[in-house]
Amino acid sequence: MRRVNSLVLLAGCAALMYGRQEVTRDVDRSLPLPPGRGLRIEHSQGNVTIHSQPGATLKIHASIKCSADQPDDAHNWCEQIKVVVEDSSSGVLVRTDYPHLEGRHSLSFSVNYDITMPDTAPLEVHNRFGAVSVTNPHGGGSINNSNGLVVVSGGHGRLRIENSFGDVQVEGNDGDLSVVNTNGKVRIIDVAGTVDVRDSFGEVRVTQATGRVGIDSGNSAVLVSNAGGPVRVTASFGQVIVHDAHGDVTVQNQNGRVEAMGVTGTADLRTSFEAVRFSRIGKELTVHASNSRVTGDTVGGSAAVETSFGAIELRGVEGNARATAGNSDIRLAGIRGEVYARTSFGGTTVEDAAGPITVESENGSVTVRPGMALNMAVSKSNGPLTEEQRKLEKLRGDADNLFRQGMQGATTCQPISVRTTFAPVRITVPRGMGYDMTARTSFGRITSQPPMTVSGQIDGDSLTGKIGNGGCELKLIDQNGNIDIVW
Amino acid sequence: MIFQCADLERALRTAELMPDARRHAERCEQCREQLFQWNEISRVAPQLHEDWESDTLWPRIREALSAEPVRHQRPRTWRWALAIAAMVTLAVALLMPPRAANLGGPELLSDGALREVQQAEAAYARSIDKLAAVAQPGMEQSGSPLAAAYREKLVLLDSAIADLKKNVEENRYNAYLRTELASLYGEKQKTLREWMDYAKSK
Repeated sequence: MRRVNSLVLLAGCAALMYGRQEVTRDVDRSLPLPPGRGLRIEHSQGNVTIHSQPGATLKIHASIKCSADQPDDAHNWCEQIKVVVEDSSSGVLVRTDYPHLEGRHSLSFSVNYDITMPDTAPLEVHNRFGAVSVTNPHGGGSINNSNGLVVVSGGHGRLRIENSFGDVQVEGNDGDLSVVNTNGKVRIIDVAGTVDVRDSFGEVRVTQATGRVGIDSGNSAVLVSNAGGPVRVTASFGQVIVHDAHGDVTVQNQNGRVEAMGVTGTADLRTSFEAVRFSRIGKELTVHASNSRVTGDTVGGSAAVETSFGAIELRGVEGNARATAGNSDIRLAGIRGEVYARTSFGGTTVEDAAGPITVESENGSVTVRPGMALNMAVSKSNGPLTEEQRKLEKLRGDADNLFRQGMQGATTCQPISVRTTFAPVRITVPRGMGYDMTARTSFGRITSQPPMTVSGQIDGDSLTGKIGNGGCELKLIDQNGNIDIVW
Repeated sequence: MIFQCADLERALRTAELMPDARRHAERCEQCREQLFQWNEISRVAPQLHEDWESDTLWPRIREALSAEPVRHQRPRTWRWALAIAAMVTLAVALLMPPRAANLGGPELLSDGALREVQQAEAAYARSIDKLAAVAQPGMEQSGSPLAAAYREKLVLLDSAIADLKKNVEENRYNAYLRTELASLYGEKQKTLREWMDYAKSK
């Protein structure tokens, strides 16, 4: 690194000593900009730096740099570059006028602005081939840039930023924010208002927005955290991650991973070819995926999950759980409401579900162990458990112990319906609960650990009868697989 | 060895298997195509510039440049060395990661620096063209949405490069424009590489 530093220093000297003739001309203007009037800047070929502060005075400093083979040429060219300041009833326009050049020439130039403006004045900036930096704009406004970085900090009011081929960074805006970018990253932190972002080929990060967040992203990652309102994200090929959203979350992804953690409202998550993960969803959950693995826990409402060629693992659902997977395993645990699971060529396991259970499977084993769904509310979060979570954890432990000891006195009817082919079925029934059972299989055996009162005809592949006093439906249909009913 | 298509990837990592792979490719069109593409990548890759490893290099260069006082009376023997150093440094700057240039920094280039930058630019553009020649046929043929997205991005980048080149022609010594052009070339190179990585993984 020392070598590089030395090289840099030498290079600096060389650049200063050799070749071109460089001329700098400064332009300074100061004029009043009363409240209610705005500032508009039209510029290219240089940076625009704007500081806002209380007051009613606009101070413009332009640094014009020109180089040419001859000093006079550089000087003349610099003189011809005009900083035009037009004062009108609507506000002040600052414009850079470059003289027209024809043919090949040796002139080069850049103009950088350093402007101090009244903080309450609305601002409009148009720039090309340079960076734009605005500090503390309180009057809102718009920035339109290309080929340059845009940085805004400490803003108030509605702000719109457009950029292409440059990053956009907003650090603090007390008002709605809209950003359109083409090929640059967007970083937004701390916005008191809504946030709308459209970016075709750059990563988008939004952190701490109090209002609604809407993001249309093309081919890059989207990360949203600490959103105070609903979040809607549309993406194509990048991962979408939403953490801690105080509202509904909708993610429509095409070919990217989706992750939603800590959502107080509903979550609607869609993608294909990449995994979906979720945790701590306050209300209903909907997942539509294809060729995706879906994993998640702790859903405050019902959960409907659909995928193909990817396993589903769902734990802790307050409402009903509906899982549909093609060619993959399904594992559901801690479901307080009704369970419906359908798959083919994959095993299905349902544990600790409190409501009616229906499993439709093809060529997949089915294991059902009903329960009281007491483990559902304990999330896998890394932080310490809350008081409520601790109580639930204890209850879950007690219930598990009771269940293992065969002492649980189940009192609520929990109908179970299972259908599969070419695979075994194993059902654990709680003691004390009566079932009206119909079991049928061909090329397999039916065994029952709980005593049964058999009714009707007994033949090789079907069995009808009661467990206990009956009363609750237990329907088990299989082909070419054993059926085992156990305590 | 009875060579099968599935062995190709192993053969690419194991020199001893390559003769078998080539023999197999003579009668297998799919493997022949893959082998050709790998050969092309191997041929083109050494000519490609490497991205600079540090995001903070450019700010450090800028800091150093602005901190260095102007020294007018140096022995003449130093001048060429200094000029060459400037060329090298600016060539490095040309290869900096995208978006490193922003506020501040040297604004106008010297003659020598411009020449070096132009040479580096031309070499960079040529190497990217070669990379594109390898990557783009597959991308053009693919009907996947991802390929369509990459095509769209390349069209966008090519259009921006053309626009920037036009501005560079009008303002040839402007360091910012040159830096932006380099970053767009870098973006194009990255895009092509991403596509090739994706195509290779399929």
